[in-house]
Amino acid sequence: MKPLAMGLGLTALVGAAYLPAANAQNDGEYVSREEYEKLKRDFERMKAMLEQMEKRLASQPETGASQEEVATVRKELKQVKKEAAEAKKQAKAAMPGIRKFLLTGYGFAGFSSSDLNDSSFNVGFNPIFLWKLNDQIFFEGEAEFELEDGETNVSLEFAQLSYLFNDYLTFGAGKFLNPTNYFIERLHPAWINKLPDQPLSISDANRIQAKAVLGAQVRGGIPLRIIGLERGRLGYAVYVANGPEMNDDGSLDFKNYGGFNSSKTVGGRIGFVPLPGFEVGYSFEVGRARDPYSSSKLDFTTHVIDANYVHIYRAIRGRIDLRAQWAWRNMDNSTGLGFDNEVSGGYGQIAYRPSLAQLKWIMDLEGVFRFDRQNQPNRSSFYDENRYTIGMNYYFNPTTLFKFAYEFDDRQGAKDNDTLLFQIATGF
Amino acid sequence: MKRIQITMVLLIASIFTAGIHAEPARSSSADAKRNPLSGAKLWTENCGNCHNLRNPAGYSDAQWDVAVLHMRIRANLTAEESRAILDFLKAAN
Repeated sequence: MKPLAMGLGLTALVGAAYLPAANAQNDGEYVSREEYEKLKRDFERMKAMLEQMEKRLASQPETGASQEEVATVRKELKQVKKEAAEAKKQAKAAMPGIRKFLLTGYGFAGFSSSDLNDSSFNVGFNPIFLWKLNDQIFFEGEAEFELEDGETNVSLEFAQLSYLFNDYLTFGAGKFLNPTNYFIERLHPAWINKLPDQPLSISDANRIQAKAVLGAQVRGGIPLRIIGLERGRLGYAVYVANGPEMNDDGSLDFKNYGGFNSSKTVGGRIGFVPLPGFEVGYSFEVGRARDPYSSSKLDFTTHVIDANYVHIYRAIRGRIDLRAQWAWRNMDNSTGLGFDNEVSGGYGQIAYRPSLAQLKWIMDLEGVFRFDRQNQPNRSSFYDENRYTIGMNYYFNPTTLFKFAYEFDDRQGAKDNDTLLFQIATGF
Repeated sequence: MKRIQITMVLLIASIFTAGIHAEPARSSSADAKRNPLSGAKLWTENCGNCHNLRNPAGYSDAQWDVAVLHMRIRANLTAEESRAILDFLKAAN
């Protein structure tokens, strides 16, 4: 490197010194005093640079490297620089930026055949869009595509913008899943729900609670360590949302997205997680429903209790999954109905998966039993109903499963509607 | 109707009892005492409470950032729990 550097320096120096003179000769004129002084200054400067370069080279240790070795090293260095630039380019292309996005969701296809309805296939697709704008701002939205009456219906399941104030409090606004309805908020997606359909009290025509509400909420999780306990967590959620309207038959229409009832519903849930895999919760909702028979509003109060327990027991070589939820709603009497409009209902479910079995195909099986109960107002057009569902699932992978279920229906004062159900569902 | 309500309350109470009863086996875990905020443990205990666990390699670090924040809000996880879970998933993917 030393001879080469010296050569370059000398060439530069000679070139710099010689070129203006050559230009002057080409012009056929002598240089002026000013030009001479400038050339002299340039020369002195280049001379000083050359001396500096020589000193620097002299201070470097002799490597004894040959010209070939120097050439090889330079070639390798060039290659490394090229690869580094390419890697940087690829890394930049893969970087998500500050705003991080995730497309997730689920889809399902199924078949049902019942005593009272024509058998039919069904399908659904629910993409979920998640954006993390920064550490405090988060947006989540879910669309639902379903085939109904020969058409594709699209609905907005939820769309919520959240702001994380601190470790314990998050504010959210928009349309969000009802936080007082544990099944809907945590368990309803087809790849999570262990049966092809939802419990009566959740999806019945005279359901007790809303699945989603339009409003605002605050929520969060608080570690019980702050009150001196060794472990555990307290989860909470409080919301205010548009109030419902009562239908002519006494059921509530919760889809108040246009403001037909200016009264707001207030609800909340406290979930106590004392142990891993175990949660028990209490929820309430209070509000005023618009009465279609008068100009007055009807006060209603809903209470919900839920319990959830999941644990792997080595003794039975598998996982037990227990769920229960019970809700009851009291409501002011409407002069137009002629009956006390009180409803209650819920479900209990147990599932067992031999996840510690030796054979893989047995590990991927899961048996499920669910009991549903719905109590309707006396003398209303609805009927009390018990439903017993047995099911068997097979998991192709953790988020894809095939479900088979049979429902034994028991309606009081109406014809039973036993149903056979199949479904394949996947979460992506 | 009253009988059904009582049955459901008893069912929920029995789940509660089962949860309390099962705890001693878990609390004896030396690992839990040594590191109560182990990301892997929290991942199985909290995420696995509602759904089967996804393969950590299924998402990139950036995608897990989003997914874990989504579930922190949805499941009311504490901030430190979600941070420990996220650290584990980023290390395991």
